[in-house]
Amino acid sequence: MRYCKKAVHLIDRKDFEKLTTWEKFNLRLHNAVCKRCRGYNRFSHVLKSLFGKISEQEKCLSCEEKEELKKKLSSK
Amino acid sequence: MAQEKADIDLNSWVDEYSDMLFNFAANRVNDRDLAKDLVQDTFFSALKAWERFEQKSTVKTWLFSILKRKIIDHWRQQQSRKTKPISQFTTNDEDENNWIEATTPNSEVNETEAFFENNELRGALMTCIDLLPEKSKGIFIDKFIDHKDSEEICNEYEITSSNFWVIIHRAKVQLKGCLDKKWFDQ
Repeated sequence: MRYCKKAVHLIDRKDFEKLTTWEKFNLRLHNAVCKRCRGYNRFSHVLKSLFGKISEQEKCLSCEEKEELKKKLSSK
Repeated sequence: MAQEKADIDLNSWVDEYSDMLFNFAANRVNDRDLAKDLVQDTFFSALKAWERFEQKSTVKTWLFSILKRKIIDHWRQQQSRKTKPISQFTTNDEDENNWIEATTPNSEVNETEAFFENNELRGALMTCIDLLPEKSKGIFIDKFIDHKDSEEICNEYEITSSNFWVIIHRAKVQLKGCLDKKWFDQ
């Protein structure tokens, strides 16, 4: 149980920070035998993918879209 | 001050902030047209509220706060359109304290993840996030939605790093419980 506490902390951190190789290894080892932590790991992944999907690619409006937006705003 | 505020230049707002706002929205709703609408609505709302804007923060921060509210409202609205059962993601033989267990074979994982990454579930999650204690809610939103640095959040809320992770963990546990009731049990 004490080890689950550590595993859960690693799972929480790994979505935002890079774990060391040793930490990753320990987490994998623990998850291989612990169903609850494996489930928590998956739930964490779902949460992160729902809210944390940040594209590497910057998305921008085209010049036409900006002009259209300006027109709409000025008509208000 | 009122005079300065009256001289608002809409064109410069669009030139200066529209790309940043659009990028933020597009990355969160994964829909270009919807992101465009959200940015447009943000500007309209800002125009309406301009007289009430006390300029305690920058215009950029203010516009982003409006946009974030609009994105959250959008996610909430998705929940009311929920139609797909997702009972296949839980197993009946597990007791209710167990975490969601991946029961699908590897070949179906992508499909499963794609399914999870939908706005309806985000909507359900937003409802559950609303039920979190205020402090946990603020910290969770800062981390998962605004993608702030952990250190920045710790400074803002005057908490230690270990407190921060405990709060994040408890929030996730509460969200899991809430989703079990509000979504998975349906």
